[in-house]
Amino acid sequence: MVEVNIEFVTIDRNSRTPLVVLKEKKGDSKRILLIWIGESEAWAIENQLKKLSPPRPITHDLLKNVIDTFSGKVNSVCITAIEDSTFYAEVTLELNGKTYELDSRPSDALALAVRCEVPIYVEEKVIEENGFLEAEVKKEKPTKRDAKDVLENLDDDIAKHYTV
Amino acid sequence: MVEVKVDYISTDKNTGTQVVILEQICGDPIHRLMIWIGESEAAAISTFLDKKSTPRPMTHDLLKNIVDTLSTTVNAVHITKVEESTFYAKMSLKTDTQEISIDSRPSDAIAVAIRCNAPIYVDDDVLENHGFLEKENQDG
Repeated sequence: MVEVNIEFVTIDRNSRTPLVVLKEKKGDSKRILLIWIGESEAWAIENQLKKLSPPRPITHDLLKNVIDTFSGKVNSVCITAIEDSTFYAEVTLELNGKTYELDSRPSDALALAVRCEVPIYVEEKVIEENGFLEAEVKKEKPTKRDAKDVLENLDDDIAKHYTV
Repeated sequence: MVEVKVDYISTDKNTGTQVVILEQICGDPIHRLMIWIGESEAAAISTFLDKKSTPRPMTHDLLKNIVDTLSTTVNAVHITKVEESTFYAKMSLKTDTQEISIDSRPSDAIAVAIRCNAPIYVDDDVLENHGFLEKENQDG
């Protein structure tokens, strides 16, 4: 497993779908993983990253409130697999010293992770087979590129491989 | 407190917003209540009511899994008040030893209640002041 950060949330211009960009936390040449997500989950992640507090608790706030109320603790989340273009994730929940892995969509896992301030992991195989090497992308324009440029290199063929 | 059930999900023709129509279970006349909700919560409610299966757990399915994992049950949900056109709700969760209410939007509370087979209640004042009788329903 490798630890990643949420680099940013954006809209994929090709599919007009929200997209979350995860970037490897450590290493010289960091890998980037793109995951297409739903609008409300994108909003839930973005809202928290920008520390905006909506007037009423949104669904992922409620998830966290329920966990906190019953003395549960989210330890981490992990993007575990991709099958038929669908990403799978798990939320590791701890209660009374026991841990439980809850099946989840990556978008929900990420929205929960940013609220609980816990690490986000990706299985090595997932990032190996589906990640972009940041350095690779940088080759064409070595000086000005950042992760955002990855998105500009996306074409429909690549986009087809990623849906959540 | 008056027990209601989800009658249907519709779209408000004026605003294009999703609405959930709650219907009083017992009583004469039957009151209904219309609450404006978000698209994804509307989808979460209608997907479950239509017994559609989704390839991956939706957010409220995850919430139910969390509730189950925490060894608690959703006892009931309550639509408690309306302030400045915003509806407030509470989810009542119960363990062996305690019962705790958690602040929630009605849409989330309803999406969880139907998954957990928990009753949905509306405060008397809310139904009286914001409810309507069937013949008054202009929405069709």
